[in-house]
Amino acid sequence: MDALMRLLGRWRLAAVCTAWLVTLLSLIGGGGYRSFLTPGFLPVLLLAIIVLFPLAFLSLFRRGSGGRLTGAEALGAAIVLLPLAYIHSAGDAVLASGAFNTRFVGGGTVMTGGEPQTAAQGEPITLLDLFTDADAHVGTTVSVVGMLSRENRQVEILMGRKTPVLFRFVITCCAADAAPVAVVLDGPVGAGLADDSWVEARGVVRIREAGGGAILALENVVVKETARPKEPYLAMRWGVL
Amino acid sequence: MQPTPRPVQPARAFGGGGRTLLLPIMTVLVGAAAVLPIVAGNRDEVRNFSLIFSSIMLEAMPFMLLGTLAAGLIEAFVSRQRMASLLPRRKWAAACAAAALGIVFPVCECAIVPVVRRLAAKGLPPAAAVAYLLAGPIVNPVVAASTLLAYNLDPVPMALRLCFGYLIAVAVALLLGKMCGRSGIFIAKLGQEHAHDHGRCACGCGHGGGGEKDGLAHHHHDGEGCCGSRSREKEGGRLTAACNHALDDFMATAPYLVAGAAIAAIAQTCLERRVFVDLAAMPLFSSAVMMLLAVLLNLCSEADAFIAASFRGLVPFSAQMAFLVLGPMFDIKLLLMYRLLFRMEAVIALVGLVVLGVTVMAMGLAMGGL
Repeated sequence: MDALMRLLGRWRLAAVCTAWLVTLLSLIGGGGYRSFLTPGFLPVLLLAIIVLFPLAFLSLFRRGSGGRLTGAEALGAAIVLLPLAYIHSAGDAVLASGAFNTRFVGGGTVMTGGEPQTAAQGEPITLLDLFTDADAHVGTTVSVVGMLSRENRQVEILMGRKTPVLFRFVITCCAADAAPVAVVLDGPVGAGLADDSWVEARGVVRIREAGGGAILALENVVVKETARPKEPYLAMRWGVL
Repeated sequence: MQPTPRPVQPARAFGGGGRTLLLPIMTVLVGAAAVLPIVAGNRDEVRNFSLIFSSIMLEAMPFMLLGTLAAGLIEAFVSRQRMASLLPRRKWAAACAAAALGIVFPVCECAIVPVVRRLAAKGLPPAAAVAYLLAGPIVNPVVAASTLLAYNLDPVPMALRLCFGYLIAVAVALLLGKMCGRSGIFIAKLGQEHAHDHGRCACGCGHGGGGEKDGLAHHHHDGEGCCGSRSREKEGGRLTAACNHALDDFMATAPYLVAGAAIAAIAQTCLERRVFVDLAAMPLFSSAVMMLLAVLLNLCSEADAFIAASFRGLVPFSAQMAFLVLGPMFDIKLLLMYRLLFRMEAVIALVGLVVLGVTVMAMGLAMGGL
């Protein structure tokens, strides 16, 4: 037992550093980091790997680690390793209607007359483009991709009835700062489409007064199932600065 | 004049410190948290918690690593004398200068705690340390750019955020020093936490932990950084020492970050933001509610402006500013990490002063019609 505790004491730091290093490498290699972070965060992750490499290497040869592993040290290491269990268990899941229900604050999120975030030529229009440059799109027919939510209490309060919405999250750094953008779907939505399924909605953009604010709607909408986009979250384009 | 050598004390480990009950309780909690994603990973709430918790950690970990590396480099390369020569002698001038350091060295709130720990241990005056700690995550070009972008290139919110962030940080730093008086604000071990597990020096110089007979009890002599020439010859230089210190700082601060991130993720998973909007609609409470939201959400200062901007038209501008200025200075994870730096009384005073400062700012803005 004593030998085991000494062995654990010797390799504690190396285990922590290596586990984090391997996780970051696998997230970058497989693109899994996109479930948690904006693609623009990739250089920062690479920087973390550059820092972790020498630390992990050094921890293998560090002197003065010949003592037994204490309870506090083991607990500290376990806590630092704990997030890895959640990162791996989350897999490629993304924030869905559960998060939409807790984060959607209503019509105030529509930014009419805001700074255009218009998609570059050739790129499809996104829900973010509609929100940041709503005036430019009103009356036009657009196709946008997002997740479907048939029931949301906040939308129901705003609209006065149960109304399906197409939503997507906009992130700046990570999913923790994700803010939902949503459009009301004004038209038939196929019964076969489940909540949280990725759909493409095509319709005419309108701005509706709701709850003292404004909410975007797609009139005469046609909804069909589509594949999950490569980038599940939308990101603000910093280029406008 | 060289300081009297002090025996090196082992760095405080998470859950340690002789609190016998805390260790088993924490162990059970960590064990339960570890199996939660396995047994209930399919539940919507658990999946959301996993995503948010993982996101906060993945976002913060690179900055935490960079912060600990910077802290290690400071420990290895910057002497106390050098530190003293860099700062103005007057307390208020040092605080003013330190509060503006973020313009040159932009650091987010996750990275700044280990950096300030090492700077403080090197003799950075308490007022300057607090000023940099509070202002650094606000008064920097990245935060200025993100605030500008979030508010549709309107320079007013950005300018107000940076100005008030700076002023409140300096005011709190100077007041805290006066309030805490001789007892000081830093934890007692701060200057001595130059050791690591099993009582050996972190820098790899081979010095033992408890008052060595050869007279080389490890302390950092004035005029040199960590690990002078003797140890450099042995261990391959100060860069190795810096990495070793970084490892120790990482293991000392990361558990607090994880704990804070977990609490923040629970809050983000369970709390409906609309409730805060409804409460904030009441003029008297709007700033207080938005401040509470900032504490609970634990957002990065580079991203929080976008959340604040999403409340436009729903809560007054003064309440949005309260959210923007308070969040980078005080939230759940910072509260836990501040205990690595400050005595408990100092943490309470710091939080009280920051909240008071932000409240006064919000009231002033509200009275000014904003």
